[in-house]
Amino acid sequence: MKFKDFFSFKLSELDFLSLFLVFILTGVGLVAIYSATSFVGTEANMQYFWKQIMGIAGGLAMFIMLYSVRKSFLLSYAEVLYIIGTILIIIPFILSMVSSGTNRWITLGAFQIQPSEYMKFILIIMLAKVFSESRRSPLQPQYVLYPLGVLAIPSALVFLQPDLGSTLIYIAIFGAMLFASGYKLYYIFLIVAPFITVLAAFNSWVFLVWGIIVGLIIFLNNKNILFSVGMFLFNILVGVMTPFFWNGIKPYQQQRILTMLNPHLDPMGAGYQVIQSQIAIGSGGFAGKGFLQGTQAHLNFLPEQHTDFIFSVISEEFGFIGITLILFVYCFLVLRWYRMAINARSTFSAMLIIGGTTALLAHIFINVGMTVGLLPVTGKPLPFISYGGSFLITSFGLLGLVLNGNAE
Amino acid sequence: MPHEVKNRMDKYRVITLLVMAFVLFMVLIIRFYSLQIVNYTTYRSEAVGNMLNRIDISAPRGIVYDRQGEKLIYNVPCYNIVVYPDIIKQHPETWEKLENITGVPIEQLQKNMKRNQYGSYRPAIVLRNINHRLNALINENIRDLPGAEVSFDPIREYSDKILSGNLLGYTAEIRRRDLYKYRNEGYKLGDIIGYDGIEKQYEELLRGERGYRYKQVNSMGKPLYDQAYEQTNPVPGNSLYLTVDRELQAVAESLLVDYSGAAVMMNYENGEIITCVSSPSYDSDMFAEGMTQAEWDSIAQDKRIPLFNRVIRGQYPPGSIYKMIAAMAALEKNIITPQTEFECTGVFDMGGRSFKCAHVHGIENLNEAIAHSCNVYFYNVILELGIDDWSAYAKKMAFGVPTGIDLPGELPGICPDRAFLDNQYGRRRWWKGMWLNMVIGQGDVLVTPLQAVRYAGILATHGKIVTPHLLRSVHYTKGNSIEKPEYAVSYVDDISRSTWKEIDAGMLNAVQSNWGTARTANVPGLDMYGKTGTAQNPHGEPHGWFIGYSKLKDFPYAIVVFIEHGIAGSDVAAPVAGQLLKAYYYMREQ
Repeated sequence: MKFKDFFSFKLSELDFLSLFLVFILTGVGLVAIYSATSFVGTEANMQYFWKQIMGIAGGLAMFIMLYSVRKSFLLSYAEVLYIIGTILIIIPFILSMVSSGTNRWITLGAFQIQPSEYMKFILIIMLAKVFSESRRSPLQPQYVLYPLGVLAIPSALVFLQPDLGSTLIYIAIFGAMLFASGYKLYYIFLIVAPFITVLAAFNSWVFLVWGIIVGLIIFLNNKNILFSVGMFLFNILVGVMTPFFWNGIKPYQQQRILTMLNPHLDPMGAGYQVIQSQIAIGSGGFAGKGFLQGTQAHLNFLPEQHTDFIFSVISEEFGFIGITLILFVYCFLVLRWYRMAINARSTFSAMLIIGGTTALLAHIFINVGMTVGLLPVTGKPLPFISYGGSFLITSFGLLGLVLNGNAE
Repeated sequence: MPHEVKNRMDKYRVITLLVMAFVLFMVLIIRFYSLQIVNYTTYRSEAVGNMLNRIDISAPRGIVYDRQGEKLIYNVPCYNIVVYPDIIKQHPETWEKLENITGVPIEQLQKNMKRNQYGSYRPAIVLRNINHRLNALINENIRDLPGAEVSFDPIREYSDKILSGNLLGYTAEIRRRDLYKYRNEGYKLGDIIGYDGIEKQYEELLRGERGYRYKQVNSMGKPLYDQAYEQTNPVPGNSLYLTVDRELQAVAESLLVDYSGAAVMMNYENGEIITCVSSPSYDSDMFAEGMTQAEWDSIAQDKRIPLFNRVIRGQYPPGSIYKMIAAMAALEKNIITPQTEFECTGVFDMGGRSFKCAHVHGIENLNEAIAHSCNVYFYNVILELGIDDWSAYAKKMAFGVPTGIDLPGELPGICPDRAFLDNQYGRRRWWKGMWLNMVIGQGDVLVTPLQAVRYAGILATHGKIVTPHLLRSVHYTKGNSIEKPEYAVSYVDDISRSTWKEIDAGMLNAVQSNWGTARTANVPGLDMYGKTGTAQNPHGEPHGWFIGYSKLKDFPYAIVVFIEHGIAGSDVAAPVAGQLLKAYYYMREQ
């Protein structure tokens, strides 16, 4: 087999507009990083700026690789990649048992590899293969079981690291692809319902109403009475158990969950970041304070301001106008990519597009939702803008998968 | 290699994803709109509050002048050694150097820092009011003293020419319990507040408005630049012009220097206090400069109680100066006429007890009884008059209630009446013999020197009751305007002219006749009227009183001199009063 059997760079089919807009975003990122790393009374730290440019170069390399890789190769080796990826996630666990350290990274000399990042590509490829196979019918309930297994292994491992953010991203990728695969909405409802039941269980009235809705939907959609009753009772059981579980956990664990939901409960702890971030954003106002004029960022009130909270810096300095422009660029790209799935040549290509786009969308929403206080602080960076070489490589890789799906 | 399957993806599912993505972006944009547009002002001020550290600039207190425009209280620069807790923590050697330079032990300096410290980045005073030599030494060695510097603060200085701590009061760092009491008025730890006298009474006018300097700080509260980001200048306190005359005050202090007592001169037409001395007094400067324990003890443990303002808080039996009340009541109630005579045998027997008189006066009319201060005459009067009419006239003379002077802590004295005796001794458990004591200003009767001078004023004006006061005008810093406060005036209008004239005549003879008890107070040419009092008291020698007034046109002054254990009013009190009036008369001439 020759190299050409695995890779071909399809220049003519490359979506240059996507690439151009992404470069604009990385430019915004560079400007914001320059601002976020220059503190009052010190020279701007150009080290971050240059490292980011190196990260962009690395990202481009990953983009070219995943854009060029042939889909036939991906289809053939999806399982192999999946097994390798899973082993790589397990390795840090073993390493951390030997020497104390975090569970997330594998250090190879000067480089650090975060296997959960690469697992995103692999999961998308693997799920794209599973969902595009025609031998199973999305009209059967058991259709979901195999892909659910594919999702469960890496999700569980990453959740244990613990990396809640990545787990949520995996689930989002899976959810969107499952939905796009044409799986019956009723079955999707059956999967989602117990999670909503947990939330509903905190208020007895809401729980009652929700129970009636669940019951109606289940009994109207299914003729198998045993299955229906079982499903309904399962939901009720989950709901009834929830308060017991909640009261069973330690108060500090309850506190942690509540702080996640409402940061103002803990203004000097986890809530501090979110409150300071909101002050930064809100004080930016309509037009912003101007480049390098953000007091929250330059006086070091913002935590993680060049990585996770970079959007707060931009909001403070460029205001509502700047933010709206950037969000429109993101929105335009995401919608443009999703639309590519409709015209893709094959289901596999379409699934790659759906998976890659959803991964990027999930990152954007989780990050921005966190900086504005809509979502818990999970420490996920913003694609193409946040500082960090590793995540730039992930983002450009996902872009590569998406545009690869669009090509040919 | 497996084949790619032709795209059989449901178009509408993808469109649903597309719409959901759009909705997510809209949610984010709405959230930004809410934060940046709707709640902009809130977050803007929170950001400003984040980055700016407010440092107070204390306002200089208002200056207090006497009636001639001479400064009684003003401000002088005071140098303090301060340390920055965060810096000196990294340079502990500074403490040793400070100890060597100042001679104050390290432990004391560190204790002072802890006491005055709030926040690690704000300077804390470790030594107050250092002298010029120390100031120069610190500044010479400032490079070897990281974390320490000399700060500048205005402190209060009180005129050297007088020692009227009781009148002017003093300032000091606010005490913790007062901080709690005045927490709504914006006082902070380390603030200077007026205690006692004018400083306390007019605290609101004198304190001024604190200024602020804003410094940019990082998230740890550490200032970033030396220069202030923004500054609001303090508004100095308002200037007060008092009614007192500094020169006369000094004369009065010197006349009373050997005695415990009080002297007050008041303009009986408008209530202006020209001089107001309580002796002994204290030096307000000692408080302003921060006194040592020994200095404090010398004041607080002095048996002559210099911190006690006798003018407004000293309640004493008035003695014979009270006799005019019975005279007025008896005349008005037609119990006696000016010609009514009683015989004084030097003693008056009642219920088996003898009530004495100073001399054997023989047969005397009212005029002679006042001038000679005959007790027996008034024993006879009160028995016919009765307590109810008598106490009604004492109240007309405004006894038993505070005068309302603008000084803190004035006491009301006691003006006994039937209800008082019932309450004090029980109904029908007291006897008329007590009246005999009370009518000559003994027994349960207590007045303050200030009430006595107002009483003199009422007699002088035939019924005008003024509010004695010290504040003549306020010069407001803001708007540069001047306000003259109005003081209440009322009249006793149900006493006949002939009665007033009789009292005048008695008091005229007391001073100006050769046989009057108050003749030592006489100043020829001042048209003086007066009455002495000698009040027996259980604590030792009797107290000496003199009240009097001049009826000279353009010299409408009433005076009281009270000498604790001064034996007879004619011995010390009356001559002091005469000298004081004379001094002021000639001072005004110049």
